Amino acid sequence: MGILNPSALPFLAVLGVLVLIYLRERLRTRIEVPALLFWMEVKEDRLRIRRFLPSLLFLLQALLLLLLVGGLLHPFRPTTVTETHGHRWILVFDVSASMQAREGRTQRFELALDQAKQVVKTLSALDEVMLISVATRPQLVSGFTTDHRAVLDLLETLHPLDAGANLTLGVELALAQRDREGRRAQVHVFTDLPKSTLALPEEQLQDIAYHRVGKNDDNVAIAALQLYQNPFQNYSQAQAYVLVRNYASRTHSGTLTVSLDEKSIFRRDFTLPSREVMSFSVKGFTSPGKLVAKIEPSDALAVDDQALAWLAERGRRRLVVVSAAKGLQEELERVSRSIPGLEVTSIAPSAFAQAQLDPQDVVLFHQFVPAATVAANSLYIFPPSENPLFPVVSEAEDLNILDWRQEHEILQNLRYVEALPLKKARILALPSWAQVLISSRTRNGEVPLAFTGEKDGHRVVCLAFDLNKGNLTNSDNLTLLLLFLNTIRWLLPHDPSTPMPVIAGDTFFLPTETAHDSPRVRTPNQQETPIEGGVVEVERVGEYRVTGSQYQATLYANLFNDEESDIGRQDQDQQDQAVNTPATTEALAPQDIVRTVPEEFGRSLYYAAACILLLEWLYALWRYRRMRVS
Amino acid sequence: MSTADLHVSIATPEFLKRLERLRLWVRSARGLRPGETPIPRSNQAWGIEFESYKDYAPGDDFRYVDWNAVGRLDQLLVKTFTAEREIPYHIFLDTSASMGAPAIDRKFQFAVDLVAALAYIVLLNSDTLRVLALTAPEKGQRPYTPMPLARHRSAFLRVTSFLETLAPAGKTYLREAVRAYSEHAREPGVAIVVSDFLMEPAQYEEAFSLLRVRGYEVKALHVVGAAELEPHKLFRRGKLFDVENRTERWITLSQANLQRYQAAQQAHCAALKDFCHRYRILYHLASTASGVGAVLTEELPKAGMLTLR
Repeated sequence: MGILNPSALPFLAVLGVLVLIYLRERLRTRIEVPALLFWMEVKEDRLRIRRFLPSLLFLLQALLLLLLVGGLLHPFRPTTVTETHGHRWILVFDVSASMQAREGRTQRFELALDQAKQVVKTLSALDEVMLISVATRPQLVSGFTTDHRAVLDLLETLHPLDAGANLTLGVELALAQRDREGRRAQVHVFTDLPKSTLALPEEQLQDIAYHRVGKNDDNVAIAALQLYQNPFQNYSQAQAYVLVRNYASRTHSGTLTVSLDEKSIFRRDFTLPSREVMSFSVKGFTSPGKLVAKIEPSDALAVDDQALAWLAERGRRRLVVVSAAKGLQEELERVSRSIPGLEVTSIAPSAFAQAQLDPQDVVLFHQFVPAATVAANSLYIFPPSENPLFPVVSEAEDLNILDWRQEHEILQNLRYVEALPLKKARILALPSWAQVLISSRTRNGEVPLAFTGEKDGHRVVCLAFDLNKGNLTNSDNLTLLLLFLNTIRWLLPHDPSTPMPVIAGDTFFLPTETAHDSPRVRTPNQQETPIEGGVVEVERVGEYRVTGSQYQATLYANLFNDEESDIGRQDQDQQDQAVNTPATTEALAPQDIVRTVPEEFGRSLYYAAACILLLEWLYALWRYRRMRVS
Repeated sequence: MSTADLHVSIATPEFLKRLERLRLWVRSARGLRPGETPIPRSNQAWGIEFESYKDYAPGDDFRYVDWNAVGRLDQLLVKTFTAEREIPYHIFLDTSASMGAPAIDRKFQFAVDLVAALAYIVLLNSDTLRVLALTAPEKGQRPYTPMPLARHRSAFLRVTSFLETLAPAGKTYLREAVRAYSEHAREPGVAIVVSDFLMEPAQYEEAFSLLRVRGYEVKALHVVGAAELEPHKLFRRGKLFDVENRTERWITLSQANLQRYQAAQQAHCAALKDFCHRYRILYHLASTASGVGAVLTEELPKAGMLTLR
């Protein structure tokens, strides 16, 4: 016995209310007698009269209320039922890029699809099927259903994407669903990956029926197209590297063609032995534009035979230095002379209010913080003691750098960070929008020496230590110069006209301010769809164009995925070979499952309450009539 | 009980016809005016019912000389007749609040019906009747409301109309009412007190003594409600409210308490009865449970208050 709706328990308080009503009525009601003459002989008894004594009417009413509240509680008693169920099957279907690989005249995807359909067709009518597709992320295509026709139709709607496969995550999802409702399901995986790629315990893999398709390993791929062009370099100074890898077990010959805006600028024939890689360098570009690398002839997997990049034209970038220190201004101007494309403009702090800033500018504030927020990316160096943006806690000298975020873009490839010269620093209270980049430690805890963040839509970097004269140009302080240049590079705003490189299978998030921009996306296969939720799922390699009334962006999606390009991967050991044998699927007879289910009887209580109500009404009527007769 | 609820239920032709066979028994009371009530052991020179002879005395009416007796006895004998006088009746009806409680007893209705029946019997005999409702005395007023003197059965409607205007309210003022009335009444007669006598014994003793001293022949009709006799049918426990004194008392009606109550009640009734017996006051306890008809036709004749005509 139990209750399904404990939230109705407070309604039991109505019984207390009923008792109170009766008590009040008793205390309020008085019996009129002609005289107390004879009652004076009887001892008065206040205490016993105030004690509650239930009458039959009260008992009936209390029972009525109890039954009604009991009905609201949804009481149940456990009942054993026997149900006939079919078996459950979970089909995990790999739709990654490698499933597009050709196998003779057909595709691996088609082979897997046939196997999956075969499995579904052998199931008995009561069997339930769940379908999960897996690429970069698993997706539940269909929950458990006995409508096998619908599952077959859903299988037909699947198509391979140009993305990597996270098969482990898909199988984990299936395993999580496997034991639902106390009924164990049989998991079937349809993929071209060997079972050894699943990062799961051996005991979990034992129960999985693994259907691996594909034997062809004939694939040569562009493993990378790396374009080296920093923000201060123009296209003529850029250099591109194309990495071509042979994943086949035989020597492969072909031709690499690189074109700029559909005009061929590079062509090399190559012969690659099995599992070897070759790098090609392309430079001396004469114009900016779309760079396309392509290898021929085509092989089993076409999606990795082409790669895209963008060769940008750099305009001059302005660094506005707001400092009273002439020495620093001169030093920065010296540095800028060695950086093509960087122009330094010096302004005294007192004249900053009248300065005209461009959103593409980077503003450097040295020992000065303006009263209002600046509408540009900005670098603050050694903010003054009193400033509106960074509360100064105290000052410190000769601090040692103890920690830094190596993964941050500013500190990437930067060595000897701990060797930065720190004579004097201000201990600043870390703003809520900022994250520590470099930190030290005092007896009071961690001290941020540099932090980054985004405020009012603009990037902000703050260095809590000062730059002494000659710091940047001194050959001993190369780390500081690199840190400074990396910081400026990170602060340089992205040129919206420059296409962004992405990896197929990733998710591209549009800036939040574009939410009301009604953006649309045109995919590489020229389909244009509205963007929902500010998210573009990059499922294909090629060019994506995002257009809104205000916002525009171009994405270049490449595969660059070794696991997907290596279509002929073999299992690691003999044990894998054994488990990879395709599972046989036979129709299983439906099974009888004895279950204990809660049988609710709240409705019976309502019926009983109706009877009690009638009984109470009849009793009250009888009592009233008896009173009238007497 | 309000006046609108009160209705003289005995005023039906069938019931009144039953009453026509009855008359009130009077021991000694008589009025000054000739009437239709024969007075035993008293004679007069004229009348209907022959009583005795007496020697002729000068001034006697020759019409009543029994000439047959003169012939046989050679003596002048004059017939005398049983005296018939008019009896003045004074019915005191208790209208205190106690007569209306508990409501289920309908004690006041019962008393009113009794008074109406007695009034009918009186008026049928062409005696004089005055009904007095004992009411709470207002400032400068008398503690009773008198009905104008009625003398004939045709006045019965006046009696019922008067009774139907009454309602139980206030305290009992029997002593005060009797004293006030007896001071003004010109002719004593039969005083019938209809009450529940829920008062201190001193009050009714004083009232009855006063009436007797003034020459009234007193009869007491003690009205008791059924629920008064058996209060456990009314309640088991609760807050009792005295409708006259407006006081409360919390009572649990256990068996012992019930016995105490009934003992006190019986002692009260016994004291009243004993007092009446001692002073030759005709007393009868009429329970509402018996019904007006049974009381009038069975109990009161048995008690000697009513006789057959």
